[in-house]
Amino acid sequence: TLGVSSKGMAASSSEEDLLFRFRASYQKQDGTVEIRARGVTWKNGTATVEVPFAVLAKHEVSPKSHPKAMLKLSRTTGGPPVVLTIREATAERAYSVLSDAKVTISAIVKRRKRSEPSESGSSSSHKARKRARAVPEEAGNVEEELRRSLLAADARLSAAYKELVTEGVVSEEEFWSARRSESIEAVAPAAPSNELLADAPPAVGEGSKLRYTLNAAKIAYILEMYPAVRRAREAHVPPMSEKAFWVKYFQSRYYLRDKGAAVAAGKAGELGEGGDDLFARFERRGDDALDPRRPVAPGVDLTKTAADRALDEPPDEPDENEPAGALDPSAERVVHKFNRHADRVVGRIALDDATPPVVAAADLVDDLDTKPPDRLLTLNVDDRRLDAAPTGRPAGLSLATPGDRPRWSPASLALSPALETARRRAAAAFRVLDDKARRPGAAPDEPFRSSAEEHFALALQLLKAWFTFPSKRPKLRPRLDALNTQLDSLRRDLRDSSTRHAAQHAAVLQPILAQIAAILEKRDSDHFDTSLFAHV
Amino acid sequence: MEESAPPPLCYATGRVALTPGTECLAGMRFQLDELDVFFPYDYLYPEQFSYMCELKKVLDAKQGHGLLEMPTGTGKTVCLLSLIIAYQHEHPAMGKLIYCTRTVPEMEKCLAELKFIRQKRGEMLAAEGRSTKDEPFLALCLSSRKNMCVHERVVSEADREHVDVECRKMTASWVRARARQDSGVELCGFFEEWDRAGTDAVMPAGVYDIEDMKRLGREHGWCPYFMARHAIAHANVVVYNYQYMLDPKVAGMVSRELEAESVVVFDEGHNIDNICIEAYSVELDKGKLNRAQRCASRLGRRVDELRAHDAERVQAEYERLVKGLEDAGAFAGRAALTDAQLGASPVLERDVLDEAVPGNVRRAEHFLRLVKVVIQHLKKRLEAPKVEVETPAAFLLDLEQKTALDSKPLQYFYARLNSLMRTVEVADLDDYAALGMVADFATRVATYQDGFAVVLDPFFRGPSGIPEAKLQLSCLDASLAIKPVFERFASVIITSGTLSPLDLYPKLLQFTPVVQVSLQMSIFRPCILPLVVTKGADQLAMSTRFESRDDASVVRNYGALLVDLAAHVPDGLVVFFTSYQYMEQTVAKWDETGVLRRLLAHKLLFIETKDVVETTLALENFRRACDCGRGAVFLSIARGKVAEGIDFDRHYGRCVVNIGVPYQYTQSHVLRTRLDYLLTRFQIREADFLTFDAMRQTAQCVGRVIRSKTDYGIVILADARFARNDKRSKLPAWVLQFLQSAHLNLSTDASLGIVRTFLRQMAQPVDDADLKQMLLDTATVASLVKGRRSDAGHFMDLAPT
Repeated sequence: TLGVSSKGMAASSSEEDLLFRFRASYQKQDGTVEIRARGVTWKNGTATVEVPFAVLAKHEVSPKSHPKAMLKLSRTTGGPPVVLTIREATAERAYSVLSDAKVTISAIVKRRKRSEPSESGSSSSHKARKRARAVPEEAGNVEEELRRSLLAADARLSAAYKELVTEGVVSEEEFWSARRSESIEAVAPAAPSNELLADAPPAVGEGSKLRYTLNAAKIAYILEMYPAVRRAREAHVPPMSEKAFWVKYFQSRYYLRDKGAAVAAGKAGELGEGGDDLFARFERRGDDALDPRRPVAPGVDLTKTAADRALDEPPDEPDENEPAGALDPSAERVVHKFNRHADRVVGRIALDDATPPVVAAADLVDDLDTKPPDRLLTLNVDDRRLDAAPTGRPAGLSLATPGDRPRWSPASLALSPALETARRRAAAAFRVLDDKARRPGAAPDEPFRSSAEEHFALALQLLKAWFTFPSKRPKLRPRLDALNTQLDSLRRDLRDSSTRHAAQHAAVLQPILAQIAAILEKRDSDHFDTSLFAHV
Repeated sequence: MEESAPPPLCYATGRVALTPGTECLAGMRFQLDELDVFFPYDYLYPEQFSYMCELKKVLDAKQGHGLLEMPTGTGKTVCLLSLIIAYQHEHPAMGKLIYCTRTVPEMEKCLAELKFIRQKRGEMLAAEGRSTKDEPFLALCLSSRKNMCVHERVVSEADREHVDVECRKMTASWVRARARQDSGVELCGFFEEWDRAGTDAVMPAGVYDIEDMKRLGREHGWCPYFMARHAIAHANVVVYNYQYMLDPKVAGMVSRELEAESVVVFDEGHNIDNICIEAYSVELDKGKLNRAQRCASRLGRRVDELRAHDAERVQAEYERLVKGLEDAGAFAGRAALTDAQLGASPVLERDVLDEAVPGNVRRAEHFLRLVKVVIQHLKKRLEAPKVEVETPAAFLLDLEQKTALDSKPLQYFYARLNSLMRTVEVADLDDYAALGMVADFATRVATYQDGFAVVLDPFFRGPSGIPEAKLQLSCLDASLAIKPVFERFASVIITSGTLSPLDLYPKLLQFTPVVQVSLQMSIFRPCILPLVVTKGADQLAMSTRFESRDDASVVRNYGALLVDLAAHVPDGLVVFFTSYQYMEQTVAKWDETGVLRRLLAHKLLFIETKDVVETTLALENFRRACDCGRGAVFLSIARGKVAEGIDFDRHYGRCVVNIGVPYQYTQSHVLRTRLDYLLTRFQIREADFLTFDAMRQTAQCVGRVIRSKTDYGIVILADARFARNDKRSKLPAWVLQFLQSAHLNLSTDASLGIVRTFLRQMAQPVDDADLKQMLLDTATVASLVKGRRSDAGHFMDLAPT
């Protein structure tokens, strides 16, 4: 264990210098913790966990009465806190180390608070956060929430954030200004999601009040999933306001027609075709059907078998005398809903064979969507249909819209066809790797895959920063070089690996590595500068 | 340094497409007694060799039939085809191989195997300097017009359901006769070209699947459907649907000319008794009877019009009927293919066909009046206030008493209607389907006195869930449909992966097999993990028995099981429910309680529906999701379309969950009548039959996920009743051999631990050395053949089990 050395204190002006180091375990794995001016890092041979002071919300230590000496670091970006358990021979020594660590961290945090308000945006953003808490409708709060959720949800973005913002290459505002559309992506993802957005459960308010929150993605989803709603919207908005329209939607019988809750309550029958409301009137035959013209693999084509059973024998026609609506399609509609939803998700993937799988698409594509977003709408709907005992009050509506939310500007940069092709090829290679991993008996190759994928994503982020902020190129250059070195190392590791599977992976990874190398080799080229990114 | 991967072991997997590196195979050739067997793979499984030996016993017996069970995914089809083709070459008098399949994909898989066998045979003979040109070999499939039509307008414009009608409108003999005088009448160019070629329209030797047939048709300008109908008489191998052999109406048209020396194979024949019964049963309801009545009136008007301007034709028909039905139904030349209307007469005996048609149905107007009276009577019967089950004799007696009709003419109804429709030149048969069903009902009820029951259920709840009156002439005896096949053809082989218990089939189908054998599965690793999950994590029992299936705890525990499995099992997960209704209700409850939202966090969800097109698209999407994502979940029905014909091999099905024991709906009056019949006639107890039926459906679902020996899968039997010995003992031996006693009463969380361990083990690379130890090469097979002569059967000892 190293104490706080005078050398370390003296060198504290430099962010890279080590201030304190001690042994600690994280998630039951032994490792070493290093406290530097930029953050606390735990690492062992295989994993690294870093908590930069820029995102450190608070640090806590366990009381002396506790059998274990533990340091808990919470982040402003959300996610579970990092809990480090000091590993020393005796509890006393452990608490001694913990005390030193606490003093060191507190000193750095205080110094950062004193020195940064004028030069860095972090303190001002902290104040802004405070203000935002006080005034919830304020734009900054929403933006910050979005950023936090983005960082928490996207490990790659978080890595890029660390690499660029925490390392001080670009400021927080610059980082996010280049990713405005990414914020939108999070709200209205270009890549399809498994989530049934139209069925997001409402928050329960007082009495029979239900609070629905709508955003661009949910609206787009509902309009796509329910053509009747789209038609009704086209017909009624305007003159009806957008808010009023959506409140009507959530109050309508149509809204509940394919919800399991209504089926279970036995209400779906009355909410089905029989229900005459604003939306049911716009319903057309075949709205619930999938597109039958799409080609299917011969191995799953049941229609041929169905046709085959009736050689020279006319099919049994449906009974034309059966009264319309006599069928009870309530439970069937729930089934159709899931098939339609899955068709939508898979159909989007299948639009382009070269389009990578869901995860890869979400991770790699950025700044491509120029679709203007909608405002967030929070709808308080008085929905007495779901109440067991009606209150007798008329169905009412109170609409709480947050004030003037920031309207995101569309992205100014898009990947050029050349870089997009590179990305797609890499994604296709990842997919090959996935297929390979699926084969019976395939060895787990996750480390190789994730390593290559992360490097590729980071290369894209760095290159984007390179072209977005020409003034930052001196700071970016060493990072690009470092990445290049890492890639070379990865390539060598794969190539020289003695195991058969690793060698096979090397072959599969070859196109990815070639693409990364090509991108890096061209980074100084003027031609690359103009061709890989195109302004829109 | 990159290591070069060793060449893959080439062995049969149950399908050609999955076999790695098939292009590098040399194949295998060995002598099995007098047969020179060409096997297209380098290695043989021990059970495949046993299967061939047993199969040969059946063929050697000449007039003998066989019942062979071999585990799913062990290459049944390829050894069956290899051996029978070898037999055909050795014994040219054998006749055809008529291979009956349940689905079109199975038909295509069979033909793909056959192509592969022929290709390897050619290569092996070429290596010896011989050619296969001197042994012309034709194998083809036959499917419906809908699947085989190449006429651009019909395929692109017409509704798929109306391809038949459009085809008849252009190919019927009277349409073609009219076209000779009126150039405005549209004819099918493909049919005309095929007809013009006449005897020159010979298909070149080869193996043709549906697409090959269509390609050939387009190249030569010949209609693939009629080409196939004509060519099956000359083919060595014919592959088609069960119905074409078992349904007398279709079989009378398609299979009538096939030689009696042929060998008939029913692949995946575990449900053959149900198919036989379906082929012979007729269902009528009020809607159908109303339509039939309208059709009869329409037909009457057409007869009047015809008589007004072409009385001779009506009179000619009358003359033919006087000579007997056989003459009335006789077609000449190509008209036999094009002018068959409602299909061949279903059931009539030779003496009935030969005698003169009764006077009161000879004239069209008399016949139609009679039909209307029968329809009226049936409609009245539908108004009965309670369920009635009676024998055909009782039904006819009631008919005679209430309508004062003689029941004998009823058995001529179907053939008489057929003749009339040809006389008045009806091409749009779809409009007359209901009338055809009434005629079929009348003919059958008047012909069969035993093995049938008339069941009248005024409150029948069909798929719609709305009660409606239904009159069903229900066939109770599956042997009636298959009896002509057993009697006519030299050898009939029923084979499947799930025929256990074998001794029930001879009883149900009333035949005595010369070989009845169930083969074990040789294994090199425990690739199936069957688990009986009887309770949820809360220790409450899970079961779909009627009394408890709607309990909140049962629905919740099934949901939790599914979500947990989706979280742990990579790739595809297939779930089989006991019925559509139960699945839909459960899905709605899961949607309500958020189970499906949690499930969607792990995998996409696809659900089978009653709509074939939607289910097909859902299956296609399911496979795409498995190909490019984190896998998917497919909810299906144990007796549904998917369970019977779709494979979930490799990553498409890593786990199959059977939610509940798929018993039939025991309150069904038709089923109860059949159970009574089975007890009194065959001494098969009700519980035995129901359990047998449920477990064969379960086994069929289980077999969906294991399609080769390197494949692996988890089988969750999620119902407390599966833990009982009387249930699980009826599962096939190849499932039971993996079922450990410790895995018979598990909770959800306990089963997940076992699942995780299994998946870790199975994720390890397949050890080629272990696999090879199990496979038989040419030398081993030669020694086994030698040993077989002295001591048949000992070769199975070599297989590690």
